Amino acid sequence: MKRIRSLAVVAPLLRPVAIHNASRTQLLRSASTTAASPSTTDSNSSTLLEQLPPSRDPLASAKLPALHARLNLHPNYPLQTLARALVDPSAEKDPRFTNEHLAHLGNTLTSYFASEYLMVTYPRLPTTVLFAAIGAYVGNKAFAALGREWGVEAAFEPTADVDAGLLQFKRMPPGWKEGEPARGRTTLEQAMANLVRSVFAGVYLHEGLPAAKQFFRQHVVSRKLSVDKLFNFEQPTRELSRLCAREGFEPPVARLMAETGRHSRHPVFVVGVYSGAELMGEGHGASLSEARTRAAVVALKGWYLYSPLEKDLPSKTAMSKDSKFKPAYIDPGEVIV
Amino acid sequence: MNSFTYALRQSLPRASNLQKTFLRHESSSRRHTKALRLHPHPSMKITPNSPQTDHIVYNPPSSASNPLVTPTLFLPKDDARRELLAAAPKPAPETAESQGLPPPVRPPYEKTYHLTPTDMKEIRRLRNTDPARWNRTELAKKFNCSSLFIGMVCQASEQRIAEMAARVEKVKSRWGSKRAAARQDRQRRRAGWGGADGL
Repeated sequence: MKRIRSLAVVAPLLRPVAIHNASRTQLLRSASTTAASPSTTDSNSSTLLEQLPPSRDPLASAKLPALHARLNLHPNYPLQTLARALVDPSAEKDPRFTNEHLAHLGNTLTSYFASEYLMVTYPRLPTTVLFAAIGAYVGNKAFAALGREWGVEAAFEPTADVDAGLLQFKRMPPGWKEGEPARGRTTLEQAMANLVRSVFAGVYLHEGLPAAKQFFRQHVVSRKLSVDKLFNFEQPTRELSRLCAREGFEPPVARLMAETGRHSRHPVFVVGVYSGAELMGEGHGASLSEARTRAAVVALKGWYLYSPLEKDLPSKTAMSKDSKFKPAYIDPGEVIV
Repeated sequence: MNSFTYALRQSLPRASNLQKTFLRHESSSRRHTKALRLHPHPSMKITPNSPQTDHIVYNPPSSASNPLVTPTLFLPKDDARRELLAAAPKPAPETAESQGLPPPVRPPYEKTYHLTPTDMKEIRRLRNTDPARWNRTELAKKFNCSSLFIGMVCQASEQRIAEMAARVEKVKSRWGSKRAAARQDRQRRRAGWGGADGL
């Protein structure tokens, strides 16, 4: 049911290409006698279709089926959608032929999947760290790297004669700096990230939600992200002290667990922070205050990076009606110093 | 050996006996061999308490703690790991002294909460009247609290802050390149302690 409905959404978008397929043999015949010139495309609709440039002809490209096969997409996923995902709004005025809407849908989907996964896996993450982690999974930089790994190449300029299997977008002028107005152009990173989002949207539209989730798991969640490296505490000892007071633990006490070379040039101290007899964190450093601060940082990370044993993603209820869902662990929130 | 070489050898002074003998000092032999013969960790030793059948000795090498392992104290009340950790056998302590808690880095103290709102008013008044005489350290001594607490109660006037910053700048301007670089490096290292250096 879902698939039929979703295909109906895509169908009008594919119509120009479908008509083009019908006249494809005729086009090929004409192409054998006279080379199709993109400069004469401003006549009526029938000639427009006959002289569709290679940059808008998905079936003329060998790169598209190769990419389709590399990504292991389902046969239900048409090459036309994949071709459309490769056209950035900066390369084409008509939004029916660009990936604008697909990228928007893909962005919504991937952001949802990433935030759902992170909030269920690490329910105590502070908001800034959570946003940084979501950005690290589905941000422009990460998705641009993913697109490069998929082997997508970019056309130098979105002219009519480029291959439909190349990423088509208008580059920024030379000397452009971050923050300056874009003026209908875009960067390679942005265009590549939107392509990846559009591919996700296509998987959702043509293969359904379970397939989209699986695709996300395989291509995004499988990438290693050290969430514990995203933290930076301003006042870790004070924050730990506030945490212990809030949660009703005994106040933290730093204890010297081991040391070497106290009077040498390179001393090492190992300090543990205890709440009563319970060890909360252990840190090492070249001075007592460094070791104490690092121990507090490790203790705070231990608190914020708690992960429940049973993780249930809420999106599983969208896949089947009678699936049982155990609500995620909800934390009182981050410590405010 | 021809006669010429023999004559040459005879003419040279003989090497003393001292140079021929080979001595092994403690600095090399004991350091390289005997001092490295450490006793095995107590968990490796077979005692009457250890299992009679084949068993696994779990004795991981010492390493920095992993922040992804949640301390027992931080686990929610209904988490299954609490019971599992309580039931798990504890590692053998290395020595008898390591049974108790290690010594505190700084002597622990109880928070007293002895200052009243009138005291705080007095702190603010003193600091406003003569900020040079009543700085944070002096106020902390007088009211028997930490200078951090004084900073939480009141702040110096803008004028005083600017004055002090100018004085610090003047001191810094006298630093040479080596000291300035060392201070800058120390600040940079210090900034990484909160987790920014990725350790």
